[in-house]
Amino acid sequence: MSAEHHLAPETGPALRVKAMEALLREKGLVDSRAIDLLVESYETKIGPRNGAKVVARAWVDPAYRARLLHDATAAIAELGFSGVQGEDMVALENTPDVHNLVVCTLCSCYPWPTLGLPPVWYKSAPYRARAVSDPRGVLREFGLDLPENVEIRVWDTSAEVRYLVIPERPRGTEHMTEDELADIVTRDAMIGVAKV
Amino acid sequence: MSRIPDLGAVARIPSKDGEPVFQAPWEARAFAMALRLFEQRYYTWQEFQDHLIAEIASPGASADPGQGATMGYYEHWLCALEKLLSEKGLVVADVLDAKISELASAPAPYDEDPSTGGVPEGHSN
Repeated sequence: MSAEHHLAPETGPALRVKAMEALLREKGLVDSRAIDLLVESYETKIGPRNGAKVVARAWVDPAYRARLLHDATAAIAELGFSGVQGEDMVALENTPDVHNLVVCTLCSCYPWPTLGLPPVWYKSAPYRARAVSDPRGVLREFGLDLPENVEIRVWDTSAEVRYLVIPERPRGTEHMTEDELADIVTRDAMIGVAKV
Repeated sequence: MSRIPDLGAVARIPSKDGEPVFQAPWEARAFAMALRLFEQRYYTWQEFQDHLIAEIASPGASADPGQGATMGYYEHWLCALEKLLSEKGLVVADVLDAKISELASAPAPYDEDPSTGGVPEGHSN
């Protein structure tokens, strides 16, 4: 297929991507600057800090929590975190009796506006298979050993719906400000492989 | 049963929040191109996703819990995008292959700008 010369700046997928971008640019289908801006956005601006703010707000404001559980898309939009792959959000509330875990068994569907792009392990074949077949084992591998009486609900992301787990607020955080609370909410807790 | 790949071992990056979003610049470009073309409505996200799911599920897509499965994700993404663009007549396979050959055989020691396509102007072979 491709003739790879020893002076080629890249090989393999890097070369293919460069060729594709060159062709799309030549045809006027993409603007490289727009690509640059998207890359910058997803590398530096759109990330789990957004979701953490949603969780922190839910922790301090019971009316917000109620709105979030009723219509997550609208409640998340109140904080300004709408966008691609967040058009149809559902918030999953963890309780002492119920622990929620999110997976996309077929690919990597993930709520980008609240969590950014998914981590490598979320996209891996073992996670995609075992989150459904052995969720308790998966959680144990992440260091979370839940008592047997805690129900684990596994949500397989499909079609348009994207899930955000609302972890339980830890004890001893009553004195913390909303910003301080957002600081302790991790990406992994909002996927469901960790508690805060 | 296969283990969840340990990020620290497989990719040598921390497994907490804050690991790099993309493992290489080409992954970022491939991601952003797919998104930009969707934003401009050249295809629906479902169309792209259907191709991505097919790539991931194809025999030969690695089920190895080690490096193969995790490092191959954006390769699947790129294949899905190539196939979708070919299907849509936007970037057909033989034109892409010709461009790849052209870029592969062009010396580019002075080309620092990824948006010029790898062929510096005025630079003779």
